[in-house]
Amino acid sequence: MTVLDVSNLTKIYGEGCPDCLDLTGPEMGRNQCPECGSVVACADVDFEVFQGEVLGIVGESGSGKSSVAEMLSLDLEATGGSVDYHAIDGDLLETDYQQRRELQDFHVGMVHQHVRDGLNLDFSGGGNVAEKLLSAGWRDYGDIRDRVRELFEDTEVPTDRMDDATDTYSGGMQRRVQIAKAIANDPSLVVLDEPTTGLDVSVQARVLDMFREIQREQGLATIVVSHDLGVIRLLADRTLVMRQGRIVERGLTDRVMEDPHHEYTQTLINSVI
Amino acid sequence: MSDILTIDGLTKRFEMHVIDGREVAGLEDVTFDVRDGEFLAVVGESGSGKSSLLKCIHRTYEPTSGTVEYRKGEQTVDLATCDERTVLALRGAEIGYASQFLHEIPRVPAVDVVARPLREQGKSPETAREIARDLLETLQLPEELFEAYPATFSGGERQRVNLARAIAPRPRLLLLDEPTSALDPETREHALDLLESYLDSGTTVVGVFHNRDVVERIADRVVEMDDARVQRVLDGSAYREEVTA
Repeated sequence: MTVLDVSNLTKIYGEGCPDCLDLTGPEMGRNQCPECGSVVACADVDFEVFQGEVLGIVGESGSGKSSVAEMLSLDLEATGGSVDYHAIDGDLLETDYQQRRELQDFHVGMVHQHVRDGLNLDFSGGGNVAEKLLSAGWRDYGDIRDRVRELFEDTEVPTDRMDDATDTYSGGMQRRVQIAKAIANDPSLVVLDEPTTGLDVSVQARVLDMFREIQREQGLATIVVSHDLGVIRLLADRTLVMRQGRIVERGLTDRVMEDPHHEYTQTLINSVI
Repeated sequence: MSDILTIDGLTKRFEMHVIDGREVAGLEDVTFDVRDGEFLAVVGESGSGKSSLLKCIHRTYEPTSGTVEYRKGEQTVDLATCDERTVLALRGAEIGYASQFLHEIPRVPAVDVVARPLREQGKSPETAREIARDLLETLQLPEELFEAYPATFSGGERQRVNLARAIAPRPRLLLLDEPTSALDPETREHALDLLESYLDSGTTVVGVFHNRDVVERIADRVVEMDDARVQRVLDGSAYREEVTA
């Protein structure tokens, strides 16, 4: 089943002009329009995500991959394109404020790269997750405590730290709380933006393994955005390679890694230390 | 006996943009069949195209031309051109592959690495781990390593984990790339015994082997490769006669 069908997704920062798309992209070697100065974060992005599948988006800084993630999690307004989303049987980009809130509460879980975008550090870890449950209509205190405890166990956050302020948590724990929050309402899509950035190497592996376990068990459709090829290789079934706002290559992850076709992908793969 | 794979005109060329755009031949016009339930050994010098062949069947390499027809009952799928969803579904359920190296998330215990594909098939964590332990035991991985991380293992220990993971889900078609190269002779024997028991239960194996003893012992047929091409396809008995002559 197709969960998400993205076509021609485009984000332009600035006024934009009729030449923006023709004058930017990997062939032009830039993402800033020389005519009007607008920055084309991404353009003509199209892909599908199926249920139970992990789609990786890989590319260097400024390739537009995070913009794509943020538009899909409704944290960023798109300039153009359409995103058919199965859960609402319609275009994600045509939704009004109320629908967007509903989507964010129930259907799309986002794990942000920067912890402050995803969690209120003054709240307790449990409070951050409870907030998500409350906005989805949960009211019974006992039920909420039980569900938060269950989510902490699933994401391997010590439950005896549930009531401690989130800023006392380690980076790895904060990332786990974000994942707990993202999956709290059984969403049909989870978006992970750089899931291991800023984490200790020893913690990275555990977070990836924990997420993969949950993803497979629940059959979650997932988009993982990362500049780290190792993360993409270990998590993603299929992969898109982005450069200067455009998709330059796509395919089965092992195929992209071992038989890269595009010049940029070959350079990327050959640059891994 | 029917054929599980019909490979016809399979060709793979790599365009190396990072080396002046030169083209490198991986496979040239490879044609042969794989029979249901057989053990087919692929032999040849390093660089002759053996691994490329396995990777093209698995779609880790995208063939440049030719077909790889995979047959199950009345259904036929061309693995060279079918959509990616079909490839992923087949890999999960029917086609297993063990590369020369173990790629896994670090800091996952060996037994869980082997249990994971079983869990993805819907087995309970307990059952999956039990099967995984049995396999690792049969492959003589010391028990104290079951809960340890494979990244710290020797080449041979890691290879046992890799092999156990590939065969655990009992695929219909098993692609093995030098699965026993780092094993000592005794462990290799155990690995081959295990593979033979899988063959008895209907698994078809296409395996790349350097070690002649392995090929002599277990192969029903042998594909000889050289210079990206198949030179000959021999019956196991003919191969054995030639080797002993």
